[in-house]
Amino acid sequence: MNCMNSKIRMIRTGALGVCSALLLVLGTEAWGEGTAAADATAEVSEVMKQVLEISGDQDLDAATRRSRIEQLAMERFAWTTMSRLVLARNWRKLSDPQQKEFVDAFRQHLAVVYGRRLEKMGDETIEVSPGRVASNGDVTVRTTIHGGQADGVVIAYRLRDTDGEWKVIDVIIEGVSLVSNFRSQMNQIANNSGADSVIEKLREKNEAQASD
Amino acid sequence: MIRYGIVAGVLLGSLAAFVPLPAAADPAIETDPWQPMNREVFAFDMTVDRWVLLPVSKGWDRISNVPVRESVNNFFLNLRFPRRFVSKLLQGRFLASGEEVGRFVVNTTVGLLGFFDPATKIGLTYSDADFGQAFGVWGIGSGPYLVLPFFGPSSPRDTVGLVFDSLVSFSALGPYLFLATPVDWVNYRSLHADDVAEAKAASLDYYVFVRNAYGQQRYALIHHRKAAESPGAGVPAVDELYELEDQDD
Repeated sequence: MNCMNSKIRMIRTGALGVCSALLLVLGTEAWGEGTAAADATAEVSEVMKQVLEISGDQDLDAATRRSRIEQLAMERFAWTTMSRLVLARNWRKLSDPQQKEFVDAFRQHLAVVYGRRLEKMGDETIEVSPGRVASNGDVTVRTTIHGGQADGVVIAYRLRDTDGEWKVIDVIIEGVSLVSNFRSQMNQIANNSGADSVIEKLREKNEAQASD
Repeated sequence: MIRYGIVAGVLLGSLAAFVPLPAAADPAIETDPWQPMNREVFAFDMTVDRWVLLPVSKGWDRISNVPVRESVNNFFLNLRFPRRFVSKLLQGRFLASGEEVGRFVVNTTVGLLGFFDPATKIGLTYSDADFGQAFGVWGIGSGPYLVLPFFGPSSPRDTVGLVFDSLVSFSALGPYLFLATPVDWVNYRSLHADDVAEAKAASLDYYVFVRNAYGQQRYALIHHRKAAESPGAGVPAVDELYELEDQDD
């Protein structure tokens, strides 16, 4: 059965939950990874399970599903770290209140965008592969979507130990890192019209999305 | 080459689908010294997309369903076997080029002319390859970012690659290539309509979004290919991306 596979499979029925948890430990140890990788992988597995639960819950209407997934993203992402990575040297050019404004606007933007992607999940299962530890201690966990329209799509999450909790600092969809991509865009905007204009630009975008 | 077709496809679409690992953006692409010209060509491509490709693909959307579109896509993927085969040979990936032959034989016969993909089910999974990638593997740099009319994001190296890709396709298909290409593009655009709309909604500067996505994908396809093909091989280091500028607060 699936349990014998070295990868962790999460099936929506949840029947393999225990089996997965066991594998998580055995599997990662067999791969010679430390507890960091196992903890981060467990974190991703847990979040994915919740995503599938929410998106598969027929009793919820679309709006509730969306807001629950957004809520999940709110809690599980390290927004300040992500914002700093995305702004890179432009971060320091913002005042403290501006930095806070940016984090809020960026969080709103990403929660909506990312939420939209996730809420489209239907009968898919998500395979979570054991995480890999980077030299700075971050852990990258790969997930593969099986079934549905996104069959075979690989989404990797990079997590960082943030005050004792593993939080997502980057989402790499099909090989494209969101942090890298947004950094490139922010850099362009900051170069053209000043570092603080990135906040304005994000707000415009959020307003446009809210009116959809 | 069709896969870079009209900007659209580059996004979260299938150009990248087989490069599953985190990538670093190629600095040569990011500097973009030809940006003013590139932006104009990009605007042209977007216009073509908006007034020709998108309307036609919406029409196709109405008379087909997802399984049909996926089958058509499989058919064109199978048709581009020669390009992948030659590219993998040039990269010295003899096993991979052998697998291409296996995929082609299985999908053309059991898969009914390539409309179905039974090869994947027996473990011969798809991975894309092209001449530009082979040149990159040989150590040839991409050169600056270059947006081509109709074909979208590219670079001088990948443009030369595109010419070779086309020659190989032409030698296999002959004039049918000119019939196949537009059909493929329309079908592909239709399959990825949501991805494109989402990418536009998600980006603050769509031109930069596409440029960066293209740079990351090409970089991964060339530098992280090994890791991409064997999930057990580990995640390549792109750790510089994740360093905070100032650690002191």
